[in-house]
Amino acid sequence: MNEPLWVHVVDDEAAVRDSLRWLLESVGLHVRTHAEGEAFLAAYRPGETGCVLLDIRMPGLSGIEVLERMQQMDGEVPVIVFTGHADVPLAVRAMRLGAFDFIEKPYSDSLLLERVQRALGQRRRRRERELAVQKTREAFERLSPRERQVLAHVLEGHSNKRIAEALCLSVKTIEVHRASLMQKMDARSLAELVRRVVEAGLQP
Amino acid sequence: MRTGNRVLGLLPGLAALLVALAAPCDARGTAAPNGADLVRVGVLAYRGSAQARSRWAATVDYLSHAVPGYRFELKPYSLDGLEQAVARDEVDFVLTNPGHYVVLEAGYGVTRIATLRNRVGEHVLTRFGAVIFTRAGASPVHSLADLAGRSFMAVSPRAFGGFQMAWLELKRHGIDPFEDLGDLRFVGFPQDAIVRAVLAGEVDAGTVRTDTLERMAQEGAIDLDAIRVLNRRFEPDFPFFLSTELYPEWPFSRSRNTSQDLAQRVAVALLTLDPEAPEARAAGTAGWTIPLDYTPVHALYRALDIGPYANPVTLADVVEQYTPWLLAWSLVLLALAAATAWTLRMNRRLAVEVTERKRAQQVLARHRDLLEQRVVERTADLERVNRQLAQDVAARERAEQALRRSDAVLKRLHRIIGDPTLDPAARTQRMLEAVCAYGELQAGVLARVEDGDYVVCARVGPVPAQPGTRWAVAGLPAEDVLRAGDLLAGPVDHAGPLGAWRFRIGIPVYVGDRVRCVLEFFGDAPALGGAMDQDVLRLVAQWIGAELARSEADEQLRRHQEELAHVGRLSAVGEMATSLAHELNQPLTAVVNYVGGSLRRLRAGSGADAGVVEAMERAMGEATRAGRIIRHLRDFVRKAPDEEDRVDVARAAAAAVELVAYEARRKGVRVALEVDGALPAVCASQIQIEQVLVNLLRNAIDAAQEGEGARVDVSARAADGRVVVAVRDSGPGLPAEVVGRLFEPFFTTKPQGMGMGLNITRTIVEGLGGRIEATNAPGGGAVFTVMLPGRTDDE
Repeated sequence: MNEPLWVHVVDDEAAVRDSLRWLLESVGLHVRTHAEGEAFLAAYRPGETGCVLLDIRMPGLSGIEVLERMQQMDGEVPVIVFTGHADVPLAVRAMRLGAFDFIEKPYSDSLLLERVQRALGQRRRRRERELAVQKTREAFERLSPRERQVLAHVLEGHSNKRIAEALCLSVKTIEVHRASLMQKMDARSLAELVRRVVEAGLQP
Repeated sequence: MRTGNRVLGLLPGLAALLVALAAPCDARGTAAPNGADLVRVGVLAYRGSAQARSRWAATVDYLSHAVPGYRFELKPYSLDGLEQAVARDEVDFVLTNPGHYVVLEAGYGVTRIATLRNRVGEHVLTRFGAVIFTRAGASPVHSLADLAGRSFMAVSPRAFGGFQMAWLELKRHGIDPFEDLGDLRFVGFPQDAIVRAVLAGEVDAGTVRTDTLERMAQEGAIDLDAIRVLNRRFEPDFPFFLSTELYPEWPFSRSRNTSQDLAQRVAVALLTLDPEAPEARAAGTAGWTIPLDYTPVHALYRALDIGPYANPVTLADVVEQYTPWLLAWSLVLLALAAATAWTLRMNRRLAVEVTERKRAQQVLARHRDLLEQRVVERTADLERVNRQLAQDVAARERAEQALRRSDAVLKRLHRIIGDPTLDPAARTQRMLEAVCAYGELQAGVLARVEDGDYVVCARVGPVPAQPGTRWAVAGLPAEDVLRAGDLLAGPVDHAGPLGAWRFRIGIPVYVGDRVRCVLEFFGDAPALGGAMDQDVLRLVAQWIGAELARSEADEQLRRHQEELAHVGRLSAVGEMATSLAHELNQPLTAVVNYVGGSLRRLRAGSGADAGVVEAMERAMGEATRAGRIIRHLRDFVRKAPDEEDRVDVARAAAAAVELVAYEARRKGVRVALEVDGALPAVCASQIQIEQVLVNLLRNAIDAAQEGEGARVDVSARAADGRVVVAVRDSGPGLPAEVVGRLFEPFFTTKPQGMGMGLNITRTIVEGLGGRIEATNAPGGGAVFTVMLPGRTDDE
């Protein structure tokens, strides 16, 4: 959670790049700037990226082309597209290609920051969810075969007594296995356990 | 009786006609005497061969056409010549006057086959006569008898209508024209001369063919009221003045050896000639009719004992008639006769001689008186002419002197007009000076007339008015000139603001049909009074008017071109609006970012950070850039460009590149500017050069967009004192069919273009004395080259 999420700025105009970095850094964001699409794509790591601010009109690779290439890589990173006045058709194309939002230049700084924060918020929530699922799967991998059997019965809603009968084990043993798997799965209640397993799509 | 004769006379003609129409045309072999098929038509050329030919050639040609197998030839003759030709059988047909015809008929067996239908105005007549006339009014001649002892004029003794008809009439009234008239003059053709002589009082009376007087009156040569017709007669259906009997018109006749067959065919051809045909009209006729009765002509000749009746048969008749009486007396007086015969004869001779001498003396006396009177008149005439001549010489000398003076001033004015070093104001000034010197005038003023005001434009001499001085016209001498709308010269009786002058001459200066200025000259002596002087002044006023008209037209053209260029700039900016908005967005965005970032830092308490100062400086720089773009745009679309001055083309080119930069970026076109060394300044306004380059750059960007590696290269260099700017694009180049029309107005290859860009561009370039060319570059793409004259340093 504490690893920084980078905000990438792609604009061919130096003054715009430089000033955007100044603005974004004033609210403590981590900014990387690129003068053209190719350079950005070369440096792009979806996992470390919070959001992308992309100028839609650029010489060389255009904003639209950058968007298409990003989609092929990972569609989860929110992209805010800068458009000019009366560039509505381009904005529409960008949105269809999965852009998170578009902003017309010139904009108010707070509007831009709000949009960036929203994008980052979405990015973070998605990222937290990803991390949780990953943790659940890792925990699931660490379960013993017996614990997985117990988990399967627990998810079926069976009582300890019935699980003990089914596995020909004592109720006490079942209780030990159950406590162990709850701990491994980092679940404080049955409900939490069920949610984690469902979210991670596990089939014990 | 005469009518009866004429009817009888018609019969042979009718018979001939019927025969002609009925006769089979098989007698051709015997035709054409004297060789092949040539038929000679002898024509009486009473007014010369040429006149006869022009009158009758068409008729003769018509005969050649209408009578196949024969070639008719026209042969003009005099009276005697024609008679000889007939006598020698040298003509086959004869066309002559009725009198002459009768002579030939009697002497050589010539036979008439048709009679002319004469066309006189609207009338068609087959008979004619003669009119005997004198002047109306003072003339004491009232009847033919009064002509005794008077002078008389006719064509010739042998002229049928021109004398012989009148002769008979005079004879019937007891006047023998050769004996009893005071003076009988024959003047030949044309007969008009006789009419004029009578009216001029040169003779007392004269005779001409009928219709001559009416024709001359119609031509406006005479007034019929000035004519008194003697022995006037009236014949039914004859509309003209007439003093004699009527006689048939000219006959067309065959000579004795001409075959009957040919004669008939010719008769048919003549009779069937359409009265309105060109052949008929050329001869002044309305075609031909069946031959009339020529008995009246015979009667005339018989009565006059001339022509065929000219033989001295009278004495023989008398002798025969009085034979018994003569025999008786001759016997009785035989003896006496011998004695007295000589005496009697002598006496008679003497008496005749005395009478003749008396008459001769009278005539001589009259002639002497006339001569003396003529001498007196002539002397008076000469004296008058002499006086007139002396006056003329003096006037001519004056005129020549005036001419020399005006010639000198005109040359001077021409030099002024043709001097290319003079501007319009200097030219006007010199013209005023020239007129002042020419007219020995002290002062001259050219003033514009505006809303009833008099605004001094130029002045010469001691006039207390600087150019630009303005007065109300009311009360100024110019007021009269403006009211008259024309040149006015005369004394001035009041002292106006232009000074106290005794005389002035003023003329309005027109531009088109409006008075634009008034040109006035002042002096203390009346000058420029003559017509030639005034013409010089009018000429100067016209020149000044033309100068004004030209400068107004130049100004209008310049304004029009300026407006067009302005519209061109507006439309270029309009088309670039989106691009330009982006151009502004960039710095504005940067400013917002810098300021926003700085504010947040300051609020968070990290204001001491040196980064804020730097960011604010950058924000300032971006804001300035935005301001510059806006100012630049505003300048570019401003209506009137700056005054022409020294323009650095490199700077203007950089500005133009900046204006189109975003558009180029948007369209993915790289624009590069290269300036080769120092360029001479160009005499233009910055906006004009920018507009030219913006137009060329935008076209180049559009063209380059279509190709790969889209780029536009602008280069500026100096060559031979000129600045050469080339705009080259990487596009597909100019199609051949487009190159010639590129600079035409409204020519465009763009779907949304107005087609004025390049036309405006060329107008601007040429207005600056430069040139623009469009070519295709060797490596592909189009090159537009603008060549502008550089300012020389001494300017």
